[in-house]
Amino acid sequence: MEHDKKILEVCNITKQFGGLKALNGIDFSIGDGEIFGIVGPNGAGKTTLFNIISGVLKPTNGSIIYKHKNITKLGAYKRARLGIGRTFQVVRPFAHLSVEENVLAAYGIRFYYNPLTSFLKYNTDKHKKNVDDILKMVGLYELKDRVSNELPLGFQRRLEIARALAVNPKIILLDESFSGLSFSEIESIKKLVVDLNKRGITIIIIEHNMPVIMELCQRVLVINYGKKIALGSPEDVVNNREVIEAYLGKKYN
Amino acid sequence: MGDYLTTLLITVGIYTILSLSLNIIVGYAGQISLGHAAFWAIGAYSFAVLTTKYSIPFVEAAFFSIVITTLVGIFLGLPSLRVSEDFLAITTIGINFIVQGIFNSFDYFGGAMGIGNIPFPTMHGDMISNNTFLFITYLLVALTIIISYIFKVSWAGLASFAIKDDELAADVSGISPVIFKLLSFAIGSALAGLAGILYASFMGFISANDFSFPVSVAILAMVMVGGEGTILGPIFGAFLLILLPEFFRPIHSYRMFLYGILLVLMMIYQPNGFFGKKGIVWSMIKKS
Amino acid sequence: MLLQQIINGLTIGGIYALIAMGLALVYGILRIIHVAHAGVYVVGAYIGLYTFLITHSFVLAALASMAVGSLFGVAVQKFVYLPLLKHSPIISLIASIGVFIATQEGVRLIFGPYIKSFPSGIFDAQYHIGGIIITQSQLVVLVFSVLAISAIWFVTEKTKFGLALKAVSQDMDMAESVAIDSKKLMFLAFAFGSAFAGLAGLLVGSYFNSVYPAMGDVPAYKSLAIIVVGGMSNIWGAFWASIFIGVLETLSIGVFNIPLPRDSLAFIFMVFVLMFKPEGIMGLFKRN
Repeated sequence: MEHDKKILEVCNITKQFGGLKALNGIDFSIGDGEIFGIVGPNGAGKTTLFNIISGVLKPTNGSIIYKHKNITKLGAYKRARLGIGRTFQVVRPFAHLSVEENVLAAYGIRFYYNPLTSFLKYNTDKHKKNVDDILKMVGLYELKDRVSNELPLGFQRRLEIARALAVNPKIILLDESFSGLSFSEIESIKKLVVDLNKRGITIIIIEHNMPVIMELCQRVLVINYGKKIALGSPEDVVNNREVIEAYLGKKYN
Repeated sequence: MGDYLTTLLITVGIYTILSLSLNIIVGYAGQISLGHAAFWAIGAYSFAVLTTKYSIPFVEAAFFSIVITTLVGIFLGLPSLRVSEDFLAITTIGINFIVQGIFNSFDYFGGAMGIGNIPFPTMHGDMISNNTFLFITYLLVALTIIISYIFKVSWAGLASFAIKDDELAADVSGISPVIFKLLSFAIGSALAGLAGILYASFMGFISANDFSFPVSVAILAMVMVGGEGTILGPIFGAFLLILLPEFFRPIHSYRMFLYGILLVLMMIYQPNGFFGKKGIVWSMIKKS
Repeated sequence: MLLQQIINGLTIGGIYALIAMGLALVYGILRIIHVAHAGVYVVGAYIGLYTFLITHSFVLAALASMAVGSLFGVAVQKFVYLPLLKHSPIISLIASIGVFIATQEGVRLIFGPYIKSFPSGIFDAQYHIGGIIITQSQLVVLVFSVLAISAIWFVTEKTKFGLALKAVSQDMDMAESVAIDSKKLMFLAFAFGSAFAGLAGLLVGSYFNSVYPAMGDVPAYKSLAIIVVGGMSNIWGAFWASIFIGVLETLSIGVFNIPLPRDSLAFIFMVFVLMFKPEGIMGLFKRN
């Protein structure tokens, strides 16, 4: 699928940790409204890439362009406010807050960002209704008063998606949101991803579960040892010789 | 009211303000601070210097003292942006020692002799009575409670609690750890400055030893024993840790020993404090 | 004169090292800021003093200090820290401060508040080497520190226990993958580290010829600054930082005449390290 309108451009990103090059000249762009997959063996640099896109890490070289604006130097919270939401591979809910409070905390940045206005009452009926809508969308509405660290993993993964949605994102980065889940949970999160995409949200998925990638993504980027080894439609990518070597070579050596 | 009781209650009031103010830093934003007495000291010394050296009137001096303490609080809160929890604990201990060392060593601050003749509040040219001072102290305690409450129920409070739980997750959710950590340091130290003004003015004389590291430990103990993050907890903690020794006067010599034991037992059996989650008092309130 | 100051500084630095290395070791294993380590030091000083008064043997006194220090450290680990491992670090920090207060106060209740001394004349000899005077008590401290630090070096660098310690302090997962029994390791770490804190107590007591309940106050917090400078869990970082700060302190008093109190220097130096080299001074000459 061709997207003439680019929402995110990852330009020649290199990230060095000491002597190790975790990412080496990664270059791609994502069209507005796309569902884009990133795959690669463990330690390939996928999460590092997410950390650089979301602003958790600064790249050693290269730049991130979001809606034609260079955001390479912006902090994570500023990028979230511009509309980049994300989840974590190892879930990180606000452990002692309720499900509803988790979402309200992120939702509040739309209204109370300024230190002075931040002292206003946040749980007004209007806001609560909007947060309820988000919770209903991800299927957590009935659990909204539960403390988040008491929830099972599947619900914590949904909670992270809900929290990412609360910032009113244009892009959501899902870091292995399907891992550790049962078959039916995977199906319902797949459905959620498609729903969100229909609402115009661009989605980038890191995933090991290839069937999920094949089914959801329009394009897939494969990285190995921090380098881009393939980029194309899921069908092209799985038939790519280098990709097969990266995966099978690892498995059968 | 007798002088003894008035003095005791004023002391409790001042410590209540201190424990609530530290609670904003520790209990809301989750930043360990073992140097709160330093902020208290900065408030007290600013007030003492402004009134005795520059003859600035009481109210103006109080206002500037709070401004100074707030600015220093934000400045000293900066390490919290860089270092992890354990480093921060040690850094704040260091801040306490350094601040105390500066007040103790420089003649400008009276050196080891301290600063005396700090003015008591007056009304129509006459000094107010101790009971009026007591009343004012508790008005300010009430103000501190209101500020704590507003902070806690506002989005700023929620954002701080989120940062306390997971700074990185808060960051990617659009909540700036920088702004809300520094905000908690600013408000926490402003209120500590307020307590410093009350103390300096009530005592009339201050010296660096009044603000030593064990005082910071005591303030943190009030917060933790009562229940960090709650509002009733730190108030209760201040009353408990100031009043309890008064009851133990007959066995005065064992006081500090028992205090040490109490801290250990509390942390083992009531780690969230009396008013915290699973705390004895909180459970009783919930039951009734 | 300068050389004399440096020798004096090395003596103090050696003692700091005995305390701080144990503290760094414990931090590496448990990630606990073990303030009560200085309680072990106080207990060691008293046990050593009394053993010496009874047996007149400094070697026996040293062994007794180490043995009792060891037991005390292990008891703190078992009864206070183990139950608190699942809570946030601030809880065990406060419990640790509680243990420290209770220990010093307990010592005061048992042995009295006054300064106790070694019998006069035991270490009064002086040796003149070049223009430098080394007192016999200084020599005792230097010899025991060198022996103890060599022992620490041997155990941490040359034994399986040392390897396991390093593995755990660097990475808990790695420790699990090489199947280290973490409970046993914690026990050993405390037993080992505390022995040297006990010895340090005896050495300081004999060097300044005074043993008193509050003698742990300064080392308790100064050793924290030292391990920050050394990089928290880095044992050899703590060693170099101790030596450096010992010499710096002695020079600042004897040579440079810095007006600030000597005991806040470690913290001021710590602040500089945090600003410019937050991973500790060992980062300056990192090998890998």
